[in-house]
Amino acid sequence: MIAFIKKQLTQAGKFSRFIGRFFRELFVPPFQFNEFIRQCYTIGYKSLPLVGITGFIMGLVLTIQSRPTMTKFGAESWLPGMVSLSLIREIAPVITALICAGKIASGIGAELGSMKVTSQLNAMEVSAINPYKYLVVTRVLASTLMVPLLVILADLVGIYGGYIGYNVHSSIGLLRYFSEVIENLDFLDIIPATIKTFFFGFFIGVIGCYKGFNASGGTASVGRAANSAVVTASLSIFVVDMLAVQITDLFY
Amino acid sequence: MKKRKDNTWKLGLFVIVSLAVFLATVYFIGKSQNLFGATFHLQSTFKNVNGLKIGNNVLLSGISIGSIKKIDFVSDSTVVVNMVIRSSVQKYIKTDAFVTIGSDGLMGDKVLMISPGTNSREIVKDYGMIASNEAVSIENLMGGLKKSINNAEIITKELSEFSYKINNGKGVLSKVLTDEEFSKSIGRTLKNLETGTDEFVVFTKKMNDKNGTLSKLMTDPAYAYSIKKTLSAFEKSAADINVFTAKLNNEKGIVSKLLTDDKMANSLDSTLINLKTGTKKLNEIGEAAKHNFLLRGYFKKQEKAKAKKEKELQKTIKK
Repeated sequence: MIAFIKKQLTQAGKFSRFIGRFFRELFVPPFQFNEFIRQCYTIGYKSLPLVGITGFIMGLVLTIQSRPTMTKFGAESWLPGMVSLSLIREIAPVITALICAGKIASGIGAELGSMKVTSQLNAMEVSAINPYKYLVVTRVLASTLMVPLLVILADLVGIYGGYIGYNVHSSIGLLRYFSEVIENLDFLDIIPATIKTFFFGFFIGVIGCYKGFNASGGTASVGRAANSAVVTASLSIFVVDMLAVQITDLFY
Repeated sequence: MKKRKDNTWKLGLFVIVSLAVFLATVYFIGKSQNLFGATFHLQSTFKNVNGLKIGNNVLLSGISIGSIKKIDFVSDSTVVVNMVIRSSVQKYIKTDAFVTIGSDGLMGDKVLMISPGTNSREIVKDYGMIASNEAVSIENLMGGLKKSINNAEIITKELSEFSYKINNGKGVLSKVLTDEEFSKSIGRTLKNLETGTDEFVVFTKKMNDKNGTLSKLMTDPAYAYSIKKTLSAFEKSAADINVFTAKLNNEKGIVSKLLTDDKMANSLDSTLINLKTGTKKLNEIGEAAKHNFLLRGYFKKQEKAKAKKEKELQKTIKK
């Protein structure tokens, strides 16, 4: 039992040290700028269709699902405001982060894990390239910066999906719909939701890298690393979300 | 290398679009809260803001023109509300405008409504104070409602007493409502009235008949003329009578003397007395004549004829 706890604590310590090393390496040149751009492209741009489709469907479905209840209360006109609020505050960040966890964290975990088990990391070190700097810092930074952008676009597409969903049964102009949405929004809805997406992106990248970096043994561990990266990243997203919402609640 | 550059512009597009969306959202939200663009401030004091919050809308004639910026206590019973309003509407707010706290819908947020005043033409200044009307709170409403409920209670009580009296009392109203005989008599009265009116209708019909006297009287000009003539003649005769009575009243005439002169009345009186004594004496003379031998036969004859007449009368009665 004690051994188990000790093992868990060791894991936590190693993970914390991994994060600490990221911040140390972040501000020390040389910077792998081209690799960073490439990772941004892979993480951000390549995830866009997936995130867009998810966001659109979430907005559409949320509107259609909320309509009967709102109609029951005679508050059908509040539908745009309510849908956009729930999208921006909670649903778009979390859904996008989960999608990214599935796509990015697993990709990073598998990539770095396979490099680890095929000793490519060691080869890098031999050729005087800091593998941590080249692989981890660029990926974590890229996911930290790209996930918020993806969330913003998911918000937009999701709200547009809400517009389509609203027009299934009643009719509203696009401009009227968006002005209704803006009327119901506040900085307190936008800012905390955006800030927390940085943490989502950061944890997705860090956990993917950590799991890949610490893969050990045969090729089976690559799969295990990828799997573990997705599971842990998804879980961490919910934990971070809970913390972020509670902290936001203090200010509101 | 070429492929990477190809990818880079896509990444750039992605980043720029995302950031543009974010900035646009922030801008529009800020615009709806008047963070951008020219604004001015207005202040108003309240005793009670009824849950007005920072960021609530300010309406002018129902249009959102700004928001609440700050709510502060100035004393233990006064709250000053600071609002930010678009400069473009400043010219529509005059110094005698006043603000009221209302709510947006039944359960919606509180809003501050600026209502225009009536007289002033002076435009409000930045950080100017404008008057406030205390909002109608639920408590006030409840107070008013309670009063009217109490009144209603009294009214219904009296109403019930009244109706009880109607049902059970012996007054006229109760009789009207309950007594069968009374209603019958009312029915009869009404029937009589009906026949009366019917006859009246017939009468008026007759009256309206063109050949009737009354209608002629009312419509025929010839009739009217003759009536007029009669009346004028009548007037003339009345005038004559007037003259006659005037003459009568004149003291010199006999009749007037008869009516007014005391002496004349006295002398008339004495004449009558003389006349009385005269007739008395004449009676005595007549009595004396009865006993006179010359005239006794005539009187006896008369008595006999009288008796004979009586006998005949008795005979006829017996028969």
